[in-house]
Amino acid sequence: MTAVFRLTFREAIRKRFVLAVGSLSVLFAALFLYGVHLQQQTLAQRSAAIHLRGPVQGGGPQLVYGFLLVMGLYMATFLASLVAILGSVGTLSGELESGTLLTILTKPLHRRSILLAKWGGHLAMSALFMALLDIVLIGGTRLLTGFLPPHPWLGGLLQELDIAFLVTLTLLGSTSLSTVANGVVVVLLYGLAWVGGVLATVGQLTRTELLVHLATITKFLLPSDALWRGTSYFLQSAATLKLSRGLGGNPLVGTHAPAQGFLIWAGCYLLLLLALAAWRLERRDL
Amino acid sequence: MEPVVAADLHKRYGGRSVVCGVNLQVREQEVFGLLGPNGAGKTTTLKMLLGLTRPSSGKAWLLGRRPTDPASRRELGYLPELFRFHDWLTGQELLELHGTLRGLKGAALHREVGAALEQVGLLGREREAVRRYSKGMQQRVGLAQAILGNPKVVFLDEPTSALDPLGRVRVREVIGWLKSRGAAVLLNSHLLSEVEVVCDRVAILKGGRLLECIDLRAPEAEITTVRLEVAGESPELAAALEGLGRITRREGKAWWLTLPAARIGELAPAVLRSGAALLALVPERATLEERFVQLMAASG
Ligand SMILES: Nc1ncnc2c1ncn2[C@@H]1O[C@H](COP(=O)(O)OP(=O)(O)OP(=O)(O)O)[C@@H](O)[C@H]1O
Ligand SMILES: [Mg+2]
Repeated sequence: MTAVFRLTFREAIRKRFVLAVGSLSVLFAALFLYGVHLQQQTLAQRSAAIHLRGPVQGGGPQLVYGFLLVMGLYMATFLASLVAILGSVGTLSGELESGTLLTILTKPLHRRSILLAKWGGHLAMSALFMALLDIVLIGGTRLLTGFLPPHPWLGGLLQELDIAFLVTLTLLGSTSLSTVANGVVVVLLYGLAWVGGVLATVGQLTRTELLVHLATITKFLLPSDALWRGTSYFLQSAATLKLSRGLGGNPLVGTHAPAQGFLIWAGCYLLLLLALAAWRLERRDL
Repeated sequence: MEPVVAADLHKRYGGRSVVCGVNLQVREQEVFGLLGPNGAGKTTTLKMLLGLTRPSSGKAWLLGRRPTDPASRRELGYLPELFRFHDWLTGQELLELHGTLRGLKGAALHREVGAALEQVGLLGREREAVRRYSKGMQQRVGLAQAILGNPKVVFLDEPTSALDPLGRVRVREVIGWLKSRGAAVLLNSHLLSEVEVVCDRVAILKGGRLLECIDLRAPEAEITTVRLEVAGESPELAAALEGLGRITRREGKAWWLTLPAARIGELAPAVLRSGAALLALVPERATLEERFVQLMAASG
């Protein structure tokens, strides 16, 4: 089983997936941090212009850095989500289509063990990528501006749960759909979750009950956007949150702590999807 | 129990019967050929035996266990008809992966991989990516993967479809070697002349049904055909031959005669007694190909 787990990493490296994703991510992180740096310089110059001694403290700049970082992480989560989906989109379907799985599945192992190993491999890879992006963005911002979001670990944890959900959903799809169909379906579902999140904000703002209900259903079936909202809640300072709440909510980031029940549901749901994927593969004719 | 047993296997795909009631057993140290025209259901039967496909009804056993039990595959090797592998690995890495999945480790793994590479004639090319191999080399690496670690049962689905003549001879040798190790080999192939050489028994499948099971190692059928070439024949010759069997054809010096196989030994003395010289005496058994074609024609 560990052989199959390791194979996922080996494949990603050999097929230059790591190289491509890695180099573009470096570009993305560099661009973002350069932006943060410019922002910090501008703010420092302005404070110097009005003869303040030392860097600007408190409210204003913290609000700006917090906003910048949360938007950077929004993009990072989006990128990592796409990498998680596209990285595992063909993991079973592709191998079933080409036939490489035939000789693997005739080894003395349960199909579910092989599925689990593949799941573990893709999850580990995607989670690692997400963590690296987080560390670079949060750590870089901290170094440049001294700003640190209030609960980076909690935020990161929810983000990884989101990644795990997407990997699991993609894997489930790849037990039944062709690679292309699976990619389209999962990306569409991901988009749907996003729309659900925006609808929730709009629904709450305009007190449209039907919209809120629809959004709630979407949230429980496709928890990825709601998990991002949970993540972003933990990454914003009290001041930012207050500002957003005052505006009646923010369509892109969360303003309230995620309910514990929802998080438990998300975890169980993920395991349910994994079990379903294992069941599908066990029963499938090859 | 026999290493491979199929009991009344059926497979339906969307209402179409692809395999209907196949019964067969492959014995230890036996090479068993599964023959039949395209679409006869050979690969499907193999896949049901391997646990890759679920039978619609009927049962299969692999080394005494049901194919759904992973333990049944502990001593199994399989080369699929459409052999595709993780071709971004090198030959060596690929075999190591498959060996590891079969439970081999450390020095034993290393030794087995080396031995398998040697057997299929890929030694020296094992450090290249499988993607860069030619088609025949890919099939060879697939064969190496199937024989890794001395399996007790080996399934080969058209193992020579991409091979050059030397490669085919090599496959024949590998099969012989597997057999000498006590393995049971189940082989699908369209190359009947090859099957005839390597197989102990063959089953002929058509439209999902087993038409006939032929034991190729059994003593010749009772009635057989013999071609004789004689010089200096006398009238007694025809009479003597008629006494042993039936003359079916004559062409110059050649005579064809069908007679009970047990009496072939009496032919030469009879010819000599008639005063003729015997130039050749060739028993002409029907080739597997002839029998196959006949069977297909007879079954409509
Ligand atoms: N997954 C499937 N879905 C539907 N039909 C299938 C499937 N797999 C095989 N078949 C059908 O089953 C029949 C037997 O196929 P199979 O591959 O077993 O033939 P075969 O005897 O191995 O032929 P060949 O000599 O061409 O390899 C064919 O008619 C094929 O179309
Ligand atoms: Mg076939």
